[in-house]
Amino acid sequence: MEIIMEAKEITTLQVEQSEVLRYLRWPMTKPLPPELADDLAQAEAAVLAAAQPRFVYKQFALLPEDDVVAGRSLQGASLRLAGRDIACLLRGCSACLLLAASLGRAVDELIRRAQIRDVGQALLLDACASAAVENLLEQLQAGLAAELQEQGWQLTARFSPGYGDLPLDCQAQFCATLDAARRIGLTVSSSGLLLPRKSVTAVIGLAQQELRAEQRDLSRHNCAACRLLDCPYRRK
Amino acid sequence: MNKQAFKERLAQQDFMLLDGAMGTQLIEAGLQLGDNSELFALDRPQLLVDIHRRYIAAGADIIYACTFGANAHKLAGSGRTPREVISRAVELARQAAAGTNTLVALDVGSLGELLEPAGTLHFEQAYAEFKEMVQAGLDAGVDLLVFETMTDLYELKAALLAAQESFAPGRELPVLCTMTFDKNNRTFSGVHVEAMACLLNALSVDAIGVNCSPGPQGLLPVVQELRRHTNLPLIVKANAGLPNPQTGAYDITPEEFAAQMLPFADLGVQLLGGCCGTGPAYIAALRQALQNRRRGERPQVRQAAVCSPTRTVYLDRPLIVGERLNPTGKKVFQQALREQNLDYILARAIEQQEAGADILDVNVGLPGLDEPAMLARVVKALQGAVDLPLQIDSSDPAAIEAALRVCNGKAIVNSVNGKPESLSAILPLVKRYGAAVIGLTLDENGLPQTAEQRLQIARRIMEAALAEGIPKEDIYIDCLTLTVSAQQEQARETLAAIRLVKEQLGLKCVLGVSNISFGLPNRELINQTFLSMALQAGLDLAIINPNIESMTDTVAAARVLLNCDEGSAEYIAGQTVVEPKQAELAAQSAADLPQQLTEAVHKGLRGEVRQLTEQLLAEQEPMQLINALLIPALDAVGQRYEREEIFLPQLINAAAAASEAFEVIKAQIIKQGRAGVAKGKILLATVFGDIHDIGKNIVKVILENYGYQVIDLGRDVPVERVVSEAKAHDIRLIGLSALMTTTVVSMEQTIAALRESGRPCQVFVGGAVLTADYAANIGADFYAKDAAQAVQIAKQVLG
Repeated sequence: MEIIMEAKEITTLQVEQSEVLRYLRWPMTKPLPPELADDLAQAEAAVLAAAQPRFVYKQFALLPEDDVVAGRSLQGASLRLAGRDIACLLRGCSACLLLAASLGRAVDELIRRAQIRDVGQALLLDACASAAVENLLEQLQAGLAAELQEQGWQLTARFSPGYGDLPLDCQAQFCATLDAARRIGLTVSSSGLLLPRKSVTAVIGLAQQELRAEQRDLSRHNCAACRLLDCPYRRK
Repeated sequence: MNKQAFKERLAQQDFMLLDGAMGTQLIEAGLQLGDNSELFALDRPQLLVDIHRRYIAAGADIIYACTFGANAHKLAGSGRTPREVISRAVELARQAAAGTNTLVALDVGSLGELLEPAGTLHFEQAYAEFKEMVQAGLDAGVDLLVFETMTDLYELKAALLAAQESFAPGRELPVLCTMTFDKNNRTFSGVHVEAMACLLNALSVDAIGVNCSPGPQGLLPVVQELRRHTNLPLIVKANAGLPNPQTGAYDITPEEFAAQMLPFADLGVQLLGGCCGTGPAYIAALRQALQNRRRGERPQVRQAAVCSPTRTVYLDRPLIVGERLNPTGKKVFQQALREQNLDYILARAIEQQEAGADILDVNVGLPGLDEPAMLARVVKALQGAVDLPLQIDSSDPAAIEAALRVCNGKAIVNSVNGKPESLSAILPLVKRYGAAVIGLTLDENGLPQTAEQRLQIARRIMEAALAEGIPKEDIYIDCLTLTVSAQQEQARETLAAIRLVKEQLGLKCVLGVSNISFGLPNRELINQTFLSMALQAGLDLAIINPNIESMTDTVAAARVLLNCDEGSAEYIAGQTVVEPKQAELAAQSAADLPQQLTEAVHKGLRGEVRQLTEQLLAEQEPMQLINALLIPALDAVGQRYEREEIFLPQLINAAAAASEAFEVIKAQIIKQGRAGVAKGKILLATVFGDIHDIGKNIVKVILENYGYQVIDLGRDVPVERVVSEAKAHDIRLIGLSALMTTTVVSMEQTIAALRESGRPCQVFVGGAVLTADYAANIGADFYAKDAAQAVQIAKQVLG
């Protein structure tokens, strides 16, 4: 089998302004005052300069579906993807990708240091960094989709620990499976936090058959399906 | 095997071969990814012995016992202790090596969690885990210790201290250290290869190098750089290229691997082996390729340098040591220390870095303060705020030790002097923690009056330091500045002493410059002139206030004139800074000032707010300014936020601008020696296990603006600390934040502990995953959805 995304690096990130404004809880309908727009542009530039985007992913065959307990198991790895939501996502899939991506420690440092003197700037940096890591994942996903589709795979949407009922506490095992600390410097703290902070882990299902629309589109953007009714970032 | 025997063995062999990967072999034998390889191996002892034997047969002189991840973290919940796993793994490695002269190493990898300030693992915890491993390894009878796959210099330092402090006297084993590098010769955590060399050269390490990382080719630039900064034997243990994400296979063959490793032999690397993806065939191919090869010559390196993990500063040109982190004669700084207001101190540090300081002097000596604890705390906090090397300034050996211990990098100790008791107390610390040291040219007879006498003391300090094992390039001499208005003839003696120390001893010189001008008008002129003269005499480290432009400019100009600023590039860059636009305030009439201040707060213009507050303070009482102007301005901002006329970023900018005003006012009140203005005290903390503290910091700024004194415990705060600080400060209101569902658990524990302690206080909580119901469930008194609500709660509880 060919190496996918061989030696590919994602060095240019884009910060989607609408994402940033959503993190800042800025109403879409309201224009940005020029000072804030300037500050935001500076924050974006600082984040992009500090970011060291890195990713690691690995393809696993999925063991056959098991109707008794919700979730799926991987071949050659002890990680169990537990819960009804991930089982639904991976229905009909015979393989999956585990992926992890991070902006690296320098972005955390940038935000941490900004907080000492200017919390306002730190807030903008934080929002830009969240949008940047999101963009890293999108680029990675798009790159993988292009190559895997050529190999005849259909890809599901990406799904992260903590979405729906896929437990957050699988992060440590997830990262160990990818050897993420060694490969990209991504670690999991004792309390289950991904560190560096601006990092994401995710699963993408791979199927040799046509996937249903909700498997392809279900994503964190689907706020209506989420049970966190009070979430401040919920899209109305 | 002791260190000496290891040196002798290295002297006999051109190359020593290390083994290849253990993990890769175990995966081939069925280890599931994500499972603990040490436990897997112990369940298959014969397999483990066979793997070791195959590496020995392939030619490895050193094999690594299967103990890489046998730490308390990774074994948690397995029912096995590090000691059990390590004893057994070492026993099996010994069994495999029996009858050969192959050495068995205790292999200790990175713990797998990020250390503070980037993560939640404390330096002391990391130390304890490493110590547990090392002691088990020593008891199991390993020949040497290996720390590998490290990306954080701080973690490596914890490991090295643990090793050093586990050895019985006279039975120190060889210690090998390798770090993993990414692009730009930096590790994932940003540690530069120069900094690795700088710190490890100064600690008791027997060989240093790189492991894992990309394949051999990718490591070449790292090793080229490393050999320019160390004389220690070098190690390369490289991966077999990169893995294929679909198949997991690595992409270079044993022969390619061996061929790609040869350039390292030419660079003088003596210890060579394989990491991920390699197997016995790779080591055999390497042995074969090295057969008729000689190790390349290496240049001898002598560099005077200090470092933080990300920045190495060489004393090959005049440098600025920032002197502002010092409470002497600074009331606001003293107050900040007493209130443990670290943000104030950190802001002074950042300011100096931005003004051009190369190194920061840190002094927190204040009567009634626990100096060792405070100095260690401030050093840790500084490491999260600036990336400059530090100069630990104290007269208390216990404080110096506490600070050196937690210092991440190679520091300077300020200072030792010629008194026997000073030499015997300070120099061993400098050696043990791998620092440089400043020797003050005074002794039991006081401060000598002539340059010649100062030279004699400098020589005595040098000899004592050399005898302690501190290399000459790490000894800096301070020839002492005296006040010229009191002892006018002494300035020339100081300058003459610098010349003598430089010429006759070849040591670097350091001087606190500002003392010279006490009691004279236009001190800046005297300081600047004296600095120029001292630089001419050969001064290397000028301890000055970098915020004073004429002083930093003098150093910048000296660098040009002494030909150590190539093409005057830094000088030119420094001189073409655009002057910030001065607000057109002077022309405005004083009557407009209040209105202007209100507007400046609304717009979040921090510089203007500061300036206007200073002007207004000239004619108004501080309290009047707060109550009649600032609080109404903030209330108006808060109301506009409630009405959704402005949004979060604007709210915070306005609050941050108002804090500038409060800072100015507070400084004024402290200077006047009057009581504070606080309405009541509030304790804030981001709970244990969580480091997402931006929300808490926003709440802090806004509460402070409303006149509350916030005691900010920071992030990742242990339950017990919240309870004890609440008690110590007699707190009635506590705010806790947590971002993740996983850390809300620790919020709940904190509240429970507060209740159990019987402390009569109320708790408000906030964080992205919290809701009013959730807050009630975990026992909080209030849920604050945002900072504005936190203010309402504070008003309700404290008035």
